[in-house]
Amino acid sequence: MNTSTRKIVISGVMGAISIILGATHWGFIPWFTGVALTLMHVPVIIGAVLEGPVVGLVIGLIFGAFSLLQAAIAPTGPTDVWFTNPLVSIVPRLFIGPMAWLVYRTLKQTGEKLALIIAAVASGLLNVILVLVVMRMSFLVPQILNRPLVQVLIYTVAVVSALLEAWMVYQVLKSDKEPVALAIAAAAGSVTNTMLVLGVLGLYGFLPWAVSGTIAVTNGLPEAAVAAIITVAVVVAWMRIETGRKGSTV
Amino acid sequence: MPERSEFELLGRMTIGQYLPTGSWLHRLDPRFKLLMGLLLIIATVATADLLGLALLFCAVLVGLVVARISLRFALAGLLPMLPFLALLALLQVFAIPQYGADATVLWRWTILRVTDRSLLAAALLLARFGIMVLGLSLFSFCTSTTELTHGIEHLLLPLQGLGFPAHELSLVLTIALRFLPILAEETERLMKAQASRGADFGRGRGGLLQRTRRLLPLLVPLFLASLQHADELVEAMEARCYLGGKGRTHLLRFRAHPSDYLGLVVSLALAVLAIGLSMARAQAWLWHWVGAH
Repeated sequence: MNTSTRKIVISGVMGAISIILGATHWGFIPWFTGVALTLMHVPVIIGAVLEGPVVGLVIGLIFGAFSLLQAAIAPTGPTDVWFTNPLVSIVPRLFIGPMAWLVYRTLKQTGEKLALIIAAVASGLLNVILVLVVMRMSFLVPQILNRPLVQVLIYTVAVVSALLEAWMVYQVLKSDKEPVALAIAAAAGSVTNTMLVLGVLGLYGFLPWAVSGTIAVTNGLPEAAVAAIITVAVVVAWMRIETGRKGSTV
Repeated sequence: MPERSEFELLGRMTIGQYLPTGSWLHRLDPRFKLLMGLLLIIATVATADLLGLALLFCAVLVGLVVARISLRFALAGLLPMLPFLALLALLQVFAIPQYGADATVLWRWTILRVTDRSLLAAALLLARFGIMVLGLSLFSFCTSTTELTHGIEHLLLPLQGLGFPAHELSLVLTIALRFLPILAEETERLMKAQASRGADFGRGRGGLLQRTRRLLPLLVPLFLASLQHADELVEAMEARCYLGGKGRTHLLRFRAHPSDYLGLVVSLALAVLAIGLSMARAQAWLWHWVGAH
């Protein structure tokens, strides 16, 4: 089967899904923070995982362009005005697909020692980021977070969770389970989206960094979880259909 | 106007309608229309002066008149955004700190300060937004989707020699646009099927996990059906000997007419005028501030 025809069609179809999710507002789950959780990046992740980084890039481009158009023509809230700037809406979204594909591919093909190294580095980084974000959130309740006891507690939690994560990631990499690889790749893609968009908004001065940090945790993490669930459901079902069909070759 | 049930999605898909009034603007070569639109966007973003933006706004209004679009209809498209715009303008005026130590404070109340800079920033924001929305609407009123995809492809064709996949990208766009009504219908059908089996699409109930679980029976079949459509389309394309973009010629060939060049020259002149005005009237601090926004 000609792979480039397939890539073109998958890009188009997943792009169409992303547009539909945005236009019908199904891609938005209302959330208590006032900023809705978005699902429009899930087709980007699925396309990237199935067909490769270039496809992910193209679908990300379509997603970004459409979010720009939607912000300009039919905005759903005050924050949409920022998305009329292509640097906020298009450029960060270009990286979702390639990142998800990279994580997926790395998770599928790792040797034993490399698995350990990745596990350690990943969990360490994750904890550093989490702790920093929590520190940033201190603008919310400065009195509580500045007490030394609370800080010790936070660091202990960070270290313990780092060890837990290292062990979990190692188990995952060793067992080579498809759904877990998909889930982590989807989470990575979603987090890329969150971080890059919030990063650009922060650099432009639209959002103070403290607020960005809060949104990254309150919105970014649930979004990553939802993206992971949907990606796993879709891709696993699809691959079973694929392999089921290949069963009979007359 | 009949009430739209929650199941009818196709009706909500009007992002930018095409109004074929057969005006001069409609008959322009789509490549030139794209270039003119791009010039308008660049000019809007780069102009930091209210007079320049006012010039661009009038240009868009003139364009709407030339295209024989009712001005009231076009401006009505701005209405749903006014409350958000007002909110954002207020935010700009009060909450976003302004650069420059020489900004004159016009009003002060506890921690809130209104400087002339922040008022200017809010005004610029409103003006830019209005121009962008009207300009985009004008573009979509004048250009059908086939014109759009052909225009993009032909514009990017010279890059094909350098390895940029112009044909493939415009094909992706065409496929995506073609699939929109198909997928909308599919989702409608899915919603009705699930609802008839007792699924509840009431909004806002349950925690994140429950809401995701409620969405899954809609989203997963949607994705799977689209992947299936994709497979069939690939087979159909290959059965018709689709070999890619190499050496491909087109049935529709665009030829540039003098009126196309006229339109391009006019928009270029307007853009240069607007940016020139902005550069001439603004001081260094404003230019630096534009760069930061």
